[in-house]
Amino acid sequence: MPSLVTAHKATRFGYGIAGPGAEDDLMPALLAPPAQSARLSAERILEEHSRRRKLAAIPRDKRMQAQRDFGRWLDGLYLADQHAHLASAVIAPSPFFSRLTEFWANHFTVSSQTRTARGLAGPYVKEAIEPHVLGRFEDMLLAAELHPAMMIYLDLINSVGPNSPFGRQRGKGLNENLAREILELHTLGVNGGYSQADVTEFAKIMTGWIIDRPKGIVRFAPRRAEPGTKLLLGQTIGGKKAGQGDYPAALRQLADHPSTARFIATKLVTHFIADTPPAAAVDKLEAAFKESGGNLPAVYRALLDLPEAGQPTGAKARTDFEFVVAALRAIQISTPELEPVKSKNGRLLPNQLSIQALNRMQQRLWGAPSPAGWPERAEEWLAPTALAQRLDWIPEAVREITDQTTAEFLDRVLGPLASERTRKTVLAASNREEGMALVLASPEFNRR
Amino acid sequence: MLTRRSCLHLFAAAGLYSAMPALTLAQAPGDKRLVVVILRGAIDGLDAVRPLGDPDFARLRPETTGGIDLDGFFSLHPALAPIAPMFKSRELGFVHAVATPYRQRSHFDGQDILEKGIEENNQHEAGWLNRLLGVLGTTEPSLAVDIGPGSDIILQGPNRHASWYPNIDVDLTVESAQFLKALYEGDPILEPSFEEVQRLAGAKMTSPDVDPAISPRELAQLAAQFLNQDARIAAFSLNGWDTHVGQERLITMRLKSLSEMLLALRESLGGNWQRTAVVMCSEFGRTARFNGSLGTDHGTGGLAILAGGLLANGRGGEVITNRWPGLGDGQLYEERDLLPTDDVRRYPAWLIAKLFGVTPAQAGTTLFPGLDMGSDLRLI
Repeated sequence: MPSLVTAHKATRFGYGIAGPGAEDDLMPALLAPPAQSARLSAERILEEHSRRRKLAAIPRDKRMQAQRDFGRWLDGLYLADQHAHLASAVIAPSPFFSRLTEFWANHFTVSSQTRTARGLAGPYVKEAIEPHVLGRFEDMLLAAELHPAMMIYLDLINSVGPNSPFGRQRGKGLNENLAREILELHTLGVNGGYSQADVTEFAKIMTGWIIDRPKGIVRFAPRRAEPGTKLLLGQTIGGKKAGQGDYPAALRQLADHPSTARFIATKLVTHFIADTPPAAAVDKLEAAFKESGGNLPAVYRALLDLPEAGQPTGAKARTDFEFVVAALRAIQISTPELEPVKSKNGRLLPNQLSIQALNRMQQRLWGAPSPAGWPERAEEWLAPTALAQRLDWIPEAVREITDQTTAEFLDRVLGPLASERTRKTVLAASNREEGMALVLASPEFNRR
Repeated sequence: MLTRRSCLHLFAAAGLYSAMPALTLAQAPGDKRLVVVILRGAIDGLDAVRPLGDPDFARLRPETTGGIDLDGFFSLHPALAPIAPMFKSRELGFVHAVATPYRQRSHFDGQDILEKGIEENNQHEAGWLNRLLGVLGTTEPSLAVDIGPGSDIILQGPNRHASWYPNIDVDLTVESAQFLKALYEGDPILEPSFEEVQRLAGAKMTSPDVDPAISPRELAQLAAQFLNQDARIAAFSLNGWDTHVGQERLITMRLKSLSEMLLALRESLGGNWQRTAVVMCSEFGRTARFNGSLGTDHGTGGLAILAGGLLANGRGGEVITNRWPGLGDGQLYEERDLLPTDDVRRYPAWLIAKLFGVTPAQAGTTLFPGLDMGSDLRLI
C-alpha cells in the first residue's frame, strides 16, 4: 500500500492510487510523455473539403442521403476521437500529464456544442494542447488560437478587416468574439486590465487569418486584414500594411503580460488545490511563471513543491471525466472494451462504459457549455442528477472487476485514503458487488 | 435513448419507495407562483422587440425590417408571432433598455451578477432566489425547483431547494440507500445531493422520455408539474442567444422555441397560470449595429420579458421603458450599445414584493443589495 502522502498526491494530481503510474514520482514520470501525434486536422480539413465538393455536385433533389452520410462520417470521426482520448487517459503512464492535458484543454476550451467545430475538437487537443503541456505557455497559446478548431469555434473565420480590400468589396467587417475571449479567458483574465478599445483593436489585429480548405492549412490572407497600426494595451502593433507577424506578436505580448502570469497561476492552484486558492500558493506559481518566461514544467514544479501538495485531499470533487477515468483504472479495464459500439445497422454508438457515461452525467467530453470551459466549483455540476448518474453507472463498472474480495478492492483503490467509516460501511455490505460499488460511490473516490 | 437497465442494477430492487419518508405537504407562502428564466448568451433586445418607431433604428440596423406592431413604436420579431396574442390579452409584456449594474461585456461575470443580484461579482455570494428562500423562512426544499441539466447559480446557496432533470434513472434498495446515506453524512455536496436523489426517486415525477437534449417546451412542462404541486418558485435557462454570426437564422430558432416554451407553460399550468408571474432576463444586450459577420457582439442595454396571468391586472400588454434612450449620435452607450435607462433588478424585485409579501425594503437590501427600488412599478 502506498504511503498516505503518496496517496494524496496521486489523488490530487492524478487519478488515484490504482492504475499505471499511480505510485511513480510525479515529476520524472511527467517528463517522459507519450509520443507526439501526426497532423490530424489537415487531413480532416482536406477530406471534408473534397467530400463537400462532391456533395455540392449532387443535384439538389438527390442530396439528402449524401448529406446524411456526410454527417454520419463526421459524427463517426468525432466519436472515435472521443473514445480514443478517454482510453488514453485510462492507460496513461503519467496520470499527471493526462490531468494537465485536461486542465489546458478546458482552459482553451473548444466545445462541440458548436457543431461546426466538432469534427476538429479531437485533433485540436492532440495538436494544439498535448504537444505544449510540457512546453512554454506562449507556444500553447499560439497553437491554440491559430488552430482551425478555435478559429471556427470563436468566429475568427467570420471576422474581416472592414477597411481591407475584401472587407470593402463585400461590405464585411469585424467579429470581436475571439479577441474578447482570448483577453478574458485565455490570457489576462477578466480583471486583467484591458478595455473595450483593446478588444476592438485586438480584433483588428487578428483579421486576415483564414482556413485554406483546398490546401488544408491555416494561413494569412492579406486581402482580408485590416490595414494600419493598432494599439493593444498601450503597445503599437503592425505598420501601415498588416503583416502576418502582427497577430503572433500580439499573442506573445499577452503571454508575457504580468496579468497572464497571475491569472494562470490562480487557475492552476484553483484546479489542483482549492476553489478558494491560498494567496501564498498563487504567489509562488506566479513567480515561477514569470522567472521561467512561462516555461510550464517550472510552474508545475512549483505546484508540486507547495506545502498543500501532500496535504489531505477531498476539498474538491472529481469531474465526471476524472471520476470515470479513475473508476476504469480502478477496475483494470482493458482498452478494447472502451471502443465505440457498432449497432445492428452498422452505426457507431458511444460505449456505455466510457463516452456514454459522460454523455449521461453533466460533463460531456469536449462539450463545455461555454468558452469559459467547465467551472471549477463542483456545486455547479455535481448536482443531484449528476450523482444519480454516477450511482446508476457504478454497477456496470463493478461487473468488470476481477478482485476476489471487497477488502482487496478497497485496499487497492482507496488504500490509506479510506476513512474508518467508509471502510466499515463497505465491509458491512451484504455481497461482494455491493461493497465494491460502495467503494466507487464513496466520498473518498468522488473527491480529490 | 436510455432504457431502464434494472436487471443490471446492483443497487436496484423494489422497496425504496415505501421506505421513503412521506413528502411533507406544502408550507408555501400562499398560492402565487414565480417562474424565472435566464436567457443565457445575451439576447438581442433590439431584434426581439424592435423600436421601428425610432427614426435612427433603420439607419443603425438596415438589416432589420418589419415585425408585428405592438404599440405603434415597438414591433415584435416575426418568430414571436405565436405569443403576440398573449400581448393583446395582457398576459405578456416587455421591459426595454434595461441592464444589471454590470457594465463590462463578459458573459460569465454578467451571468453571475444577474443570478446573484449584486453589483460586483463575488464568488461566495448565493443566488438571489436562494436568498429569497431565506427571507421567506422556509425549510421545505420542494418550494423552489431548479430545472435542467446544470445547477443554476440563481438558486445556489445555503437554503435547500429541489432540482430536477429528467435524466434521473436510479433505483436503490433500502439497504443501499442506508449505506450511501452513512457514507455521505457530513459531506457538504454529496449529502444534500443524495437526499435530493432519494426525494426525487420517491416523487416519481412523470417526465418526457429521457432525452438529454431537453427542449424549452419540455422544460416548461416540467416546471408546471412542480408548480402545480408544492413548488411556488421555478427557475430554468434557455441557452444559445450569443448570436455573433448569422443572427437572423439563429435568433429565429431561439425565439420560436421561446414562444413554444411560454405557450406550453401557460397550457400546463392550467388554472394556476392566473396565479403566476414569469420574468425572463439576460446578462446584457448586444451591439446596436450588426458586426462584420451579420451578427451582433456583446453589448449593454437589453430586454426583459414578463408574462403570466397576473400581468393582466398590471402592466401586461405594454412595452415598459423607464426612458427610451434613443439610438442617435451621442445617445448610444460607448457609441455602440443601447444605453440602459433602468436597473433590470427592479422588475423581479417588485414582482417578489407583490407575490410573496416581501417588503420593498427587504427586496432592495437582502435580495438585491444596493438596488434603488424606486416607486411601485405596479407590474401585477
